[in-house]
Amino acid sequence: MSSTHKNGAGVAVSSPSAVASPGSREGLVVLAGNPNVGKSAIFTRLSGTYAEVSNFPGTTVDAMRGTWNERPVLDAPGTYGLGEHSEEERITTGLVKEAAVIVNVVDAAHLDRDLFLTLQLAESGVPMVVALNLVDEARKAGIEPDAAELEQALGVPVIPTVAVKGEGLEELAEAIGEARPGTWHLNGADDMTRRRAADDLYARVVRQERKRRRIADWLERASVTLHWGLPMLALSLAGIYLLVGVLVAQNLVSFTETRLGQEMWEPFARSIIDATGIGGPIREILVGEFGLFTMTVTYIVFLLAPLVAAFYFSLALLEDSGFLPRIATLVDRGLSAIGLNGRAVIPIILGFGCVTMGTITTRLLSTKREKTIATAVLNFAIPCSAQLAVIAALLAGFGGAWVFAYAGIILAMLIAIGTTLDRVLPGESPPLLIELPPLRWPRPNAVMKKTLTKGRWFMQEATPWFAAGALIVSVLQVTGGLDVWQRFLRPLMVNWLYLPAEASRTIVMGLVRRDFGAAGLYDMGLTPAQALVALIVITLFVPCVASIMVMAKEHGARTAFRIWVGTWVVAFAVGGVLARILTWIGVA
Amino acid sequence: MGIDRVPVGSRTRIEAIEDSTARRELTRLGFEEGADVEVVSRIPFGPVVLQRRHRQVAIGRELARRVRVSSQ
Repeated sequence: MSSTHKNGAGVAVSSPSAVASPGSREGLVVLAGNPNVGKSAIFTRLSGTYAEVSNFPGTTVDAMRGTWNERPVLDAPGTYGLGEHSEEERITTGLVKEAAVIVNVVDAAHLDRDLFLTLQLAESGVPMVVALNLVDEARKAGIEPDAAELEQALGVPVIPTVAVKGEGLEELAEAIGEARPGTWHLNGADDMTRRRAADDLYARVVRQERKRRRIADWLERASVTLHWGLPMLALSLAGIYLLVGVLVAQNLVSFTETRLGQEMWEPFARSIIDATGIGGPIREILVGEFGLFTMTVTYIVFLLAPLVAAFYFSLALLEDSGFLPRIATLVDRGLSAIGLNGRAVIPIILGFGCVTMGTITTRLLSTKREKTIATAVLNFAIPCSAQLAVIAALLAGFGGAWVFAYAGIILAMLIAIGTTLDRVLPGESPPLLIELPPLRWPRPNAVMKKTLTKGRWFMQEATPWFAAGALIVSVLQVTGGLDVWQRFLRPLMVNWLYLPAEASRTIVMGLVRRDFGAAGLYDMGLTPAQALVALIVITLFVPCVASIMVMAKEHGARTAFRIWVGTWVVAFAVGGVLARILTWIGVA
Repeated sequence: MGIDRVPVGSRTRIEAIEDSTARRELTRLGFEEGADVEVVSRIPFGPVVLQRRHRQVAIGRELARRVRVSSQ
């Protein structure tokens, strides 16, 4: 091992006396383990606080906080080792130094990998307990580790658990009280020595050969080949489109939005306000065209909520089945063309749910270069689920060709932005290196819980901004400001984009959130060509306020401002050119 | 030769990983120098998927070239 790797070896707290140092927080329990071993499930059970559980590495980027028996509990980000080499490693290593007790969660079915970190923790001198999680999977595979042997080798309690079913957690809670520093000592401290020691220990603890599982073994191999994997990917995308784009966006939403929203809720809201005798501008703001109790409620409750739920449901299935890292492998070649590697598919797919969430997830990319490219691509060219809903609803009425034209143009923009940044930005993006988790049946409870949690998060985040946007537009309408704004943007709208002058209203809305911009196009009586131009402009237009905030926080105000200005230029340039092309080929 | 040239379905031993970051990560994952691995898949111009015991890891093609195996 070269000398540059010595940071990976051992933690600074190497003597047991360091444990009681005043630096350690009172009774702090830290959950540490490899990514995707059930740490979050154990954390949720212990602390009663929900931490997201999924089947791809790196779900927990920040440490989650909770309490157990009046002691603070922290769920550290998943990491394969301690050291200073990545954000997750740094956070986890820091937490281990502060911990009074470490609960090292390991995957009993993949113990060979996990033992590397376990040995580092056992060398750290901090009292610890090992939660031998997923023993059911290991038992089924015929490779249940010998817990007593492991306990003896490490000198710390080892408790078999099945966290998602709650098995073994009482014993684990008891064992936390009996945690003790590991008696393990390693001669030499480099990665290679520790890896060899981990392999030797594994051979002592797991003596059987793994049983073959016919279907699962085949799927795990087939899903990463082109001839099986691509059809599987196409099939899952088609399934998601059928669920989100057809069943929910068209059938369900047309019922909830028109029947429940516009025909039942809005008249009801108006009658209530009218009964109170409120009139004039206040009435307009509350229950008018863009009213807080009319359009806002209809849009949020009857249009957005079902779509967002359907999207997060699909995403939860992709995550929990373990398919997502396999998709990353399949698309690695394609993404390398825009200076990213396959890993970036995760923020991009998440971005289709919510660009803000996608932007946050760019953290799991390893270099600043990749983060910048992914953030730009997300905020320029990826429509979020709310926007997609409106876009699907608007374009589907005109026929499939318009949907394809829209998708093709957006994809071309994505490639153009990605390749340009790849050329312009200095340096090189690192190659793909990703662990492929085992394929598992998603557990219905976990999928539902995740759908609800993420859906609620999104709605909480979106609602105030939407209400603010509606309020601004209503006030502008009541005060006549909307007319001024329309007159100001008129040349751009009418002469450059060939759109009706009222379309400038959608731009005001779009400044707050892009999807309301799109929502405003509904009743404007646009021709298919006008709708396409308007939707392209709105998609490429400025990201929602929440995304801007996140960008400013993660990449600095300057980058955020540049991207914001850039979207104005790109959106209108592309829209104008497109309007001319459509006229020229005679479809407008 | 690089592991990108090992036929799919055959086993081989990793001799050297000529990339320090990848060496560190692969060592932690249990795909260290000296490990016996199977090449599970090679996506045309894309990643190579390796398997050891029952665990899989995907590495980009460029990196696979720098994961050296002994040519038999």
